[in-house]
Amino acid sequence: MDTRKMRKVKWFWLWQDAKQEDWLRRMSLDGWHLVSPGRLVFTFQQGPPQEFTYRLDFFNKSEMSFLGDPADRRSEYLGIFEDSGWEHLGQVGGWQYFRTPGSLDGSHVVSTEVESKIEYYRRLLRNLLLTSPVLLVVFLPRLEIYPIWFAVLLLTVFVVGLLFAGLNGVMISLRIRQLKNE
Amino acid sequence: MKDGRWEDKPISEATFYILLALVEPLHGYGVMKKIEELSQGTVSIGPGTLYGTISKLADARMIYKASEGERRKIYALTKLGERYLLNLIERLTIMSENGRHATIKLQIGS
Repeated sequence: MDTRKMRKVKWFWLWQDAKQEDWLRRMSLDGWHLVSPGRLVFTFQQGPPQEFTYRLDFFNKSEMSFLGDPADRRSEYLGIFEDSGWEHLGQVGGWQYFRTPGSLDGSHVVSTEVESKIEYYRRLLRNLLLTSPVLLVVFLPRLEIYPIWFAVLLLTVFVVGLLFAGLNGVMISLRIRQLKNE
Repeated sequence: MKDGRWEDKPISEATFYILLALVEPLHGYGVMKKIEELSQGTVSIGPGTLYGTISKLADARMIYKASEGERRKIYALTKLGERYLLNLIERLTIMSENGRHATIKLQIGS
């Protein structure tokens, strides 16, 4: 039996959860099944081509809850997925990767998952909005105490960071709107 | 979330059905199955939503953990949850009765 493994480097932006799910599905159709996800490096194992549906769900372990300690809640959360036929493949920064054989038809629609994703993206957006002004306060007033080349470098980093935050902000807002229409 | 805010907030179909399913104590997956059955297949709640909603309902003291299984915890309605659900059902009944009147009117009109 062939159990070749392959590592693939691929970058996804935070708002590209659906794109990632689709990419993983197509990889499986080509006979490469996800073994462990990563922020940048994905590990696949070769096997017979098969259709899987992949789902990214966000599990917030820091969320205040009276349901018990975090490890406990996590195992219950994963348990509910397993019970309903989803295999857990791993996690990256709170995003949990699940898959189930076949394509999703009416019987296990996950359309109601949209709400929790919207909530996640809203939180992300809020954090982004909160941290951007902090950058401004930390960076800018100190510029004159540095040598000019360093000040220019700092300013560049700052501007790039701001553009990055801006891009993220706009794209995440768009993703929220898109999810709302689903 | 404060209890008071729950009274006036519009409730999602998913939340309503979860409360309804918990009229008898159930574990998470049992809630999912029960909802499919109750709604005659019109509402299917995914595991992520189910878990998120259960957490929120527990935070609002609408439900509580009735027993600690290994992994499958059994949930049940609290007194507060029961009152809330009954109140909700009453409001929904009024809505559906009004809906029926409207249906009759529209049918006579056409």
